[in-house]
Amino acid sequence: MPTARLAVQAMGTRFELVLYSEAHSEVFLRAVGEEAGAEIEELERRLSRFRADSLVAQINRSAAVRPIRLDADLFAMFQVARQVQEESAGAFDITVGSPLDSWGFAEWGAGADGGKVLVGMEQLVLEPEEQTIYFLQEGLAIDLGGIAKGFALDCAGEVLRAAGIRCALLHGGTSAVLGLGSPPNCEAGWRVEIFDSAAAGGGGRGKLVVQLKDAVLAVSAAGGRMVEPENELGGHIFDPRSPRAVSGAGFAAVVTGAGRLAATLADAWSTALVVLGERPIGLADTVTTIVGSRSAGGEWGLYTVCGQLSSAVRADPNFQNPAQAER
Amino acid sequence: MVNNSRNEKSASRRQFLQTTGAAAATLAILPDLAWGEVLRLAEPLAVAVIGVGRQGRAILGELQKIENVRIVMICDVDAARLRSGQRRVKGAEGVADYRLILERGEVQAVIIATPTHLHKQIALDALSAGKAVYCECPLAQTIADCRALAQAAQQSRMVFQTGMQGRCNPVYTLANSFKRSGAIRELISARAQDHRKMTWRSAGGASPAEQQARNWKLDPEVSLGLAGEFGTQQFDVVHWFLGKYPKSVRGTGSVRAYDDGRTVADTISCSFDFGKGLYFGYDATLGNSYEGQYEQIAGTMGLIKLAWSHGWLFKEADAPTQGWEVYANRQQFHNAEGITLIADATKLASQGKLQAGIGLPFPSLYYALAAFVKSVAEAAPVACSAEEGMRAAIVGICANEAVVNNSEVLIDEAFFKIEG
Repeated sequence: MPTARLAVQAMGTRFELVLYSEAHSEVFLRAVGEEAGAEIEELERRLSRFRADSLVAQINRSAAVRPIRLDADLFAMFQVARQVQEESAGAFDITVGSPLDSWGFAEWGAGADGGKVLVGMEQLVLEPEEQTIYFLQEGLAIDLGGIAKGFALDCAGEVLRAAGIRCALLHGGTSAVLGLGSPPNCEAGWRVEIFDSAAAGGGGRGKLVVQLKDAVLAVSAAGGRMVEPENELGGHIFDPRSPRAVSGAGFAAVVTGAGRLAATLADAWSTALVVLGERPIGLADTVTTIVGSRSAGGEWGLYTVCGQLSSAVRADPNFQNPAQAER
Repeated sequence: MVNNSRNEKSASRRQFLQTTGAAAATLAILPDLAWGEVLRLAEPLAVAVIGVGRQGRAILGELQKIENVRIVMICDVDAARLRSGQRRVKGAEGVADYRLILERGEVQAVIIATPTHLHKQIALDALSAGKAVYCECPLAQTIADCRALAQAAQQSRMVFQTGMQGRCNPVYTLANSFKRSGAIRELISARAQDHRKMTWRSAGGASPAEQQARNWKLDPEVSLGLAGEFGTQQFDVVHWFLGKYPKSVRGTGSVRAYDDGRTVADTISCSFDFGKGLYFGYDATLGNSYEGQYEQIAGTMGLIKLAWSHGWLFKEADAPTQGWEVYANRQQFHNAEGITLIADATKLASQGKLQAGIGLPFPSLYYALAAFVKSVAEAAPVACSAEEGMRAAIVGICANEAVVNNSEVLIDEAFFKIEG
């Protein structure tokens, strides 16, 4: 069957796309894949806070002075960020730009004020009539690291759908995945494994398998790059409520059906869940969550799956001692 | 997950700043702009964009940063692209026929971002309709069309700007002032490249005719190839810095990367003769993206390297110190002329400290559009005229001809003559 595989480097990671179609030629698939990839690259240019000429850099510089106009899709992305911030009681907050600056993740940034750290989504106003964004306070800065990859996948997915592609897998740095349709050899959907790299030496241990058919998956973990603000070791996800880096053993994944802005939502929620450490009460059933933790020895132990798509999540047979709660 | 692109950017900047053995000092060229302030017009200006493919949509994005510019209409023959364009602009009316835009009295200026071979007619009609025109480059597909358009623009009272971004780019204009003040002394040579990894093929189009229309860049009857489509912008930068136009161009090209039946070369190389032994070498490819797009001008005292959002001056060890450099030992400074210099850019880059964050606060395209809008609304001088656009496009057309025929093409002064 005609196939196209492409990759683009964006948002500090590698995005890969695989497209299958019986109805189209490989030349066509490659061209569509490239358009989807170009969409991702354009978003990187607009949303990276490490580029002086990006829209995010402009927002961080000027949104406290005057409102900045957004296009419809980007405005909707910010609305998702707001929604997740509210429903997670602040565990997800895109206004973490300031603490990230103070703690050395970016030399470049507007608003870092020599140690004074300003966080708070309530300082960020989205005006739907004009489709603008503005800040109520100087010194606020946004960082879209917890949501941009998901949004990029949604935009790329839209390009594929508009071109009539029904069968494709897209992922951004393996932390956000969109599965359209299913691959030729597996009607049940795209099989994605979440594995614990820390336990990789143990062969097949510590693996979850998620089957994605017109569904998205986003994964976050607290581990990874360390910061040391005032000798406090932490990972590269921040708890906006403190604000300090989230330390500890958690990981979280979110699975939802592939609707509009689904990957955006899943990306934001997986970030929020790592901070929260557990699924919040009242979260809609359509958002399936997998929240887990590592034992003191660094092995994956308990994990909890909850939501409409729970059946899409299975433990690898080698996975030891899972505690599953299914609704 | 948090964005880790900083390391990516450091690596590519490091790649960029390879000094020669002799280069004594590397200075990053960065104009002192009212940092990131957008243009604000006193009165509202109503504009329309004709052609909302990728470039057209980028134009929509940049125009919306300018205060008091209203995009009232957009046009595209493709319904899906038109819808995509409308998602970029709240409240813009979408049409498939550009003449509806030209008939609308409230539209004061149009931006043309259609395929190259369609520029001429639309631009001529727009001028006749009394609209100011910003026309994407290359200006037109044939030498005759370029001259006809330049003539019409000259005879019209309307503002006409060609979309060549170099002349509006603040890094480039600052670098040009260095060159004019003798910073690199005698010209030795120039080179430029445009490396990208993309097929240039467009998907979609319901009928074979539509597919062919969408794939105009790969149609040898219509396309100006990499030299015309990519190169023209860069050739114009070189003309501007060298202060003259080439006498002839040699070219070669081949299909190296995409074995899909195409005949338009995906990899080309051109050599332009500026006379008296001054040559400009250009290469472009769709098959490899290493180091992207840049131009460099070499002189006996230094080399200027320009990469759109960034610029550098590499000085030779025996180059005299310029007045402003006395202070350049510090890492950042502002002098009386409002120039920010970052000395020792190489060292900073190797330490990962010359971040992508240092560079222009807006994309190059923004400055070109802002200049146009200022010309229309405030009678500012036109940044890049139709005649300059014509000259650059003609050089691009000749370069493409050289590539297609694997030959040398003479660039006759007579080509640049505008009748009347």
